[in-house]
Amino acid sequence: MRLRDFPEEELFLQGSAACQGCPGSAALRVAFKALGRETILCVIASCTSVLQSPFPVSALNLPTLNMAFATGGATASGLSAAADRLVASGAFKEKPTILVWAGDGGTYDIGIQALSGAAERNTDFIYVCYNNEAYSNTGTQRSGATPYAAWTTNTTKGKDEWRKDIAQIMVAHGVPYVATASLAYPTDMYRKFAKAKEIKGTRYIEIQAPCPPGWKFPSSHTIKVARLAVQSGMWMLYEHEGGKTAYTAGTQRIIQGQSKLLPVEEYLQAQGRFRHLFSPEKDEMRIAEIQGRISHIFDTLQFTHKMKEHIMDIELAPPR
Amino acid sequence: MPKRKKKEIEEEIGFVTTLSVPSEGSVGLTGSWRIFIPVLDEGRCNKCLLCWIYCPEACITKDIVINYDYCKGCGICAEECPSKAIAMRKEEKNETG
Repeated sequence: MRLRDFPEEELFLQGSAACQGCPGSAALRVAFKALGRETILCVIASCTSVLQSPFPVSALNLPTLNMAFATGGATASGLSAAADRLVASGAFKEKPTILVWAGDGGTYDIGIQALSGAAERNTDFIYVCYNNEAYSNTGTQRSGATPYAAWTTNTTKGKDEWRKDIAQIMVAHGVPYVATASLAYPTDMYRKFAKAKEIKGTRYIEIQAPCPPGWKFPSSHTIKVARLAVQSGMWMLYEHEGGKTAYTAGTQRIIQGQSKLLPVEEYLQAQGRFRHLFSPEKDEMRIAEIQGRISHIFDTLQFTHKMKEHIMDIELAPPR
Repeated sequence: MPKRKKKEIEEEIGFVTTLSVPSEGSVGLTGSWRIFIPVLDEGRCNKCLLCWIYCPEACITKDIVINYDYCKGCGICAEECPSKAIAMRKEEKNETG
């Protein structure tokens, strides 16, 4: 799918209450374009509750339900069951897509029990986590998604723990489709949403959402930081389907050796939340620790990729 | 879709509602938040559509026309334009009404 083939219709309307350069609204636009008008949206308490704007108007041109942090999976289960009944009774011709739109706080920390329950029942819905790696809506507090050494108002000298990998937790649930996406690769994101729309059962998509006020970078750098995250290996793009993981877009190019893995320092220096790693003096140890983790993952993936190619060569070689 | 008042909506549907109605400009003309304004140099634009898809506010159309009423001036379009066809410059007072 090329950019010029994307639908022109905007279901996210102009003049919303989002901050300048908001990654949430940029992600909503691409998701809505891929999913279309036949979608029911459930918004978990997050920045999206703010950017949809105050009563009596809404910037989201789709049927929308607002709900508490912990109830995403449960509400979607109810909606999905109700839609099934309406289809069975003939009131609906086709089942609409049930889309849950949650932040990382509502997914990683508070909402995981309902999400896990819904995934275990394989409820038919798409769950999207737009991950700005903090509780940005309430002023940037630490969340389960905050990466190691990042500043938040709770972790002023940098977080001591590594973030948990919720996409892999969803893979472990055995749901039909799990994908990660990045704002900097809109065609990849669009393809993943369009694919998820066609699959039945629980689908989970996670989008990294660099937040200008929370991560402390200029609003014009939202896409640039998202791209640096992929190029430096801090965010990986993949989709997991039928028991197999396929790496996509920027991550795939690094694994296949078409582009180089950027040093993680470039990504860290682009944001104010890692400033304490560089001033007053450079914290070589913590930077090396982050780089070490990423390099280890990519070395393994590149090795596996080469081995697979080698095995293919042997298989395809004509018998002597 | 212009901004609509609650009263108009209720008159239209015939009863008092607690439901929100989709509307453009839901928090007013957000162009007033702007300090820097994006200016397009049409001669340089190669219609790659990156500014259209990256604009968080949906303020750029597919024909590359910027809606200054709602553009918050975040500068993503200028930053991401591969042919440098969009420049950000400081906006004079009341320049775009």
